[in-house]
Amino acid sequence: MQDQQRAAFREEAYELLGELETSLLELEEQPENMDLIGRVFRAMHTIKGSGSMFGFTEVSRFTHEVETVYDMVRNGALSVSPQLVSLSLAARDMIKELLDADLDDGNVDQQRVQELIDGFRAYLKSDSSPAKDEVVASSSANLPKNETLPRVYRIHFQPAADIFLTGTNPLGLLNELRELGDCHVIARTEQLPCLDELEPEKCYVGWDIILTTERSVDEIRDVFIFVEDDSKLSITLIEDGSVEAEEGGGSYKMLGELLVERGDLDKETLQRFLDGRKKIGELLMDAGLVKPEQIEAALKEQEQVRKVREKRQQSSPQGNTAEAVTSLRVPADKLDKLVDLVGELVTVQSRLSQTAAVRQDAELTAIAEEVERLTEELRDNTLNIRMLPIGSTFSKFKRLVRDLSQDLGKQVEMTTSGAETELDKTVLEKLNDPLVHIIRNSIDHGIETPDVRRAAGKPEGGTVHLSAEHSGDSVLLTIRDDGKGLDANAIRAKAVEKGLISETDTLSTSELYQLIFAPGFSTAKTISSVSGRGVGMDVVKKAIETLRGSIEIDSAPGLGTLLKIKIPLTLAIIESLLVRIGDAHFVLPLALVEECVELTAADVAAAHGRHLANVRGQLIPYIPLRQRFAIDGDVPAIQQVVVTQVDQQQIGFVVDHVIGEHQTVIKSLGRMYKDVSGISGATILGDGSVALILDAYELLHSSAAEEARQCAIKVA
Amino acid sequence: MEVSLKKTAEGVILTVVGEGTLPYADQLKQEIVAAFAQPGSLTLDLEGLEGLDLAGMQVLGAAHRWAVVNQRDFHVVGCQQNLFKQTVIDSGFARQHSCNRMGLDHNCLWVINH
Repeated sequence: MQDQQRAAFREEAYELLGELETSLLELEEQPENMDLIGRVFRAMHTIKGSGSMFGFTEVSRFTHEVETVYDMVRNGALSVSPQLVSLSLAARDMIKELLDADLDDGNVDQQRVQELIDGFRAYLKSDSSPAKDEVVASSSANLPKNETLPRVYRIHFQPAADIFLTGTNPLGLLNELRELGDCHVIARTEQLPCLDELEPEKCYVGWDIILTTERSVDEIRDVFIFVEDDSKLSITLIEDGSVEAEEGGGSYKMLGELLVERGDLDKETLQRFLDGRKKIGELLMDAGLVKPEQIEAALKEQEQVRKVREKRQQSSPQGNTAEAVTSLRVPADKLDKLVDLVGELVTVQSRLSQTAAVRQDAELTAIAEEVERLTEELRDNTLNIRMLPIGSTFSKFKRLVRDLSQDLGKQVEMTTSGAETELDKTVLEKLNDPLVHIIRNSIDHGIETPDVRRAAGKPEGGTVHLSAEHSGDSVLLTIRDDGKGLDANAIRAKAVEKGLISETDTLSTSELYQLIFAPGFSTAKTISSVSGRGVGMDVVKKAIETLRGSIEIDSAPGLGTLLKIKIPLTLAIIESLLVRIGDAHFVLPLALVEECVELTAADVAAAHGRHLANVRGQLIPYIPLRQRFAIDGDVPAIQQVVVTQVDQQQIGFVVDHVIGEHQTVIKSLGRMYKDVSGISGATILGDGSVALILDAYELLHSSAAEEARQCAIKVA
Repeated sequence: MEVSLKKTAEGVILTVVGEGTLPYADQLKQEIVAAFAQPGSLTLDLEGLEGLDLAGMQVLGAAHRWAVVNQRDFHVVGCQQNLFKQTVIDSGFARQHSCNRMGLDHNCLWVINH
């Protein structure tokens, strides 16, 4: 159990560190934004508190130092400087290292830890307090616009009797709560003695507070952070905005019920009084059983919840469309398992449909159709659960751009658009390294130094713009920089030097640009987030193609470079075209397929041994797959050419029969077959047989390479 | 804080001018206790109040409570001045109805006319 809790904390901490990085980078640009300061503080506070609770002593001890500084920043005693942001980013990395070290039983550089702690302590003593008029008080105007529906909290706060002696003004805390939302405060004065017994320096008053806010419990608790240990504090969520809208216009609990729930009255007494004719509140007050403030607090709670519910119902005529979105943390492997099971279901459903079709049983066919419809819905919903906005990946790059441009002495700003565009979690993870590589290249080789840019009449600061948008069943990512652009002559020279082209080859500028993706153009063999700069675009291309995506490049000398990446939304299930060669079945991703044309024996003969199909007067090269995969058997008199668009060129794949569209649940081939070229995976068909998924890119490239090799042999 | 006591036909009027805050809370308490020692009703004049915090509010609340328990006439003048009203609202002392033992609304310190 402890391990599970530690793992859950670690997961939460990693997420918080991701958010922290984003907040710090934003804070660098808006150092007086109290909301951002609050976010940084809360992230540190949560990591420290939860870390300590789950035995991450080192993490907690270290984070405490950072939190201390940010507490002073949020109180206006210190200001945010670029130095503090850099120090905090380094601390963020150190917290991650400490978490990683705990997982891998590794060590962290203790000297570095101490250096950072010293850095924060020095900052505390530094003269970085803001001028009085610069202190920005937290106000409701600074609060973030949260799109969730407001929640209603019942807060009971009874400060310690000696709170005045600690210098804390409880009314200040109430005012802080008011900044969080609509706040109704009712003082509880029952502890207040008669004047002769009163010790004026003691606090006798407590409060019932009804707070309607979009903020979380943690954020509310933060208000009481320095007094919580000595006070009685309870925060209860009484309306979370996600409760089904009640029938009868958003009614809430009756007053008596509320008083019992709030602990002001016992059930039996309530029952006794319910028979009376007067209003329950008056009856109970008359009998001296509850105090007016208790009635007021309960009535205020009733009123607030009613208001929230009415508001929700007004914004949704049906009473359900504006329900707040609640979220649930589910481990990724459980989702993967769910997708696997849905994949199995799709396969079984396919078998059912096939069996129903064969038996020609109307009843069975009707059931099969119903199952098909439900399976499709289930598939879409399941795949949708795994979708994540690409914004989280974008924000990671902001740090990369910041650090790299500082290292290289360049001024680079990263801008983004379409951060809300969603992609499958797996695709997103696999996309990270290629994008890091591209951005590194843009900053290192694309964006010029400020003096060069100035001399070229450009602004000193360069821009890298990342955008994402949906395009059919794919997502189109673009990475545009306003640097110096590609040098076509240099590319040509290097391509000649590497033997990729001969000196006599005439290539258009666009074709020359594509050469940077050619294997052998650069020397890097692997791609990682720390790989070398300016190398390995072929590896980037390979990584994109592994995702069944494509990449294109365009550039204008002196103006910049544009990279376009097209990626499928998901890797789990694809729409494909099922084909057959002999007894073997294959599938091709439908997104690549343009059309299918017939190829007769006469057509083959007319091409004089060259693999070219004449499609409405246009010659399209094709790959005879029977030959490519050495499948025995007779070639049918009329074969089919599946014309596809791969790497901006048309290529045909010759098969015996085109069976039709197929919903393909992708299964990996396993390690034994990882080196098989031309095949990217497999799928199970309705009858239980296996169909291989064709890797069109690999087939094209290997075929081109083979052709080049044959030509070389002939020349020799 | 400056305090003055004036005798009337009904009792005494205790006038408070200045801060009714934590540093003066004990003084305020002692002055009110002394005023209650006088016969008749006690009217507390807070028109000249320049500051009021929770400690001051507690003294007033405790005085009100003492008066109820000891069945003494206790009135406050100046409850509707802005500073007093604002502090009563901010501290959550504001009530819509008087406490049941005091009866009439206008006698209650914490019933604020908006």
